[in-house]
Amino acid sequence: MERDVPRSGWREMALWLVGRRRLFRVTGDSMTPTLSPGAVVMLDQRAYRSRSPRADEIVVARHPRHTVLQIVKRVAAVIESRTESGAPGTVLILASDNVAAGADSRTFGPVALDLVLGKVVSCLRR
Amino acid sequence: MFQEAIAQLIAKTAVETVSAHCDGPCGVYDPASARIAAEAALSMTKKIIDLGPADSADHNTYGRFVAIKEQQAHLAKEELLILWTDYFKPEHLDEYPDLHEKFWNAAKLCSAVKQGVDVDAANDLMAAIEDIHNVYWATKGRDVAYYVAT
Repeated sequence: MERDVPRSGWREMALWLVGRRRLFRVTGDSMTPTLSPGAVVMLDQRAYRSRSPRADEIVVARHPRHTVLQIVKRVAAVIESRTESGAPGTVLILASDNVAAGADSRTFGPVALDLVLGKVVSCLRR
Repeated sequence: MFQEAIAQLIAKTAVETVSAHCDGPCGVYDPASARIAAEAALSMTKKIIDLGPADSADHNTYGRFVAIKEQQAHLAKEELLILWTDYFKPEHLDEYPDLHEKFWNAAKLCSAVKQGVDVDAANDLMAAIEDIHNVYWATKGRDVAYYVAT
């Protein structure tokens, strides 16, 4: 399983030029060694239009309790569940790569699919 | 080389940030949010009892009261779990070795309040939250008086 984020090639840069990629600068060290603080990643916002996220992919999502905050995490598990009203729904368990970050790195609970902004497909800077 | 230079130029244009911090960084915690929800659940429990048996009460009102009670009990549990797992750290256990027990019991009481129409459980939950309130503010070195809204 590919753990590393590939470097952005010409194709990625071209997709960024035509508005198909969104750039994010990473702050914090919970995704080291994959992404260091200051890393710049490219996000594909259409990646999950036709399919759900899969385990091991890195996503950008809104924090469930502070929705103005955007977080970058790795998908640890994809759980098909039902909401309280019985409708089917998918939630993600997101985790940090830096397990040494401490016991409180996985505390915000499952993340609903609609909070996911897209998939991290490449990085300009690690 | 050239590609790398272009990549770095593009990287400089990145203005949006994503957080890879370990936790939500706002750091604002207060057991009051759990207390308000628990107090609402206690209030609804009393109202349901005042309403009398389900078959004699207005069905819509009865259903609403039950729904609100369960929702608030669930919210109280959620707020407690967040406080427990997000705020409290291993070092707090040194001073409060029964911390896990306190939260576990309080969470179980939330379930009891949600499942039944149990004034005793609702009162016990309020007491458990008062206890957690005292521990929480003690860890912050602040003397914050506990109060209820009703």
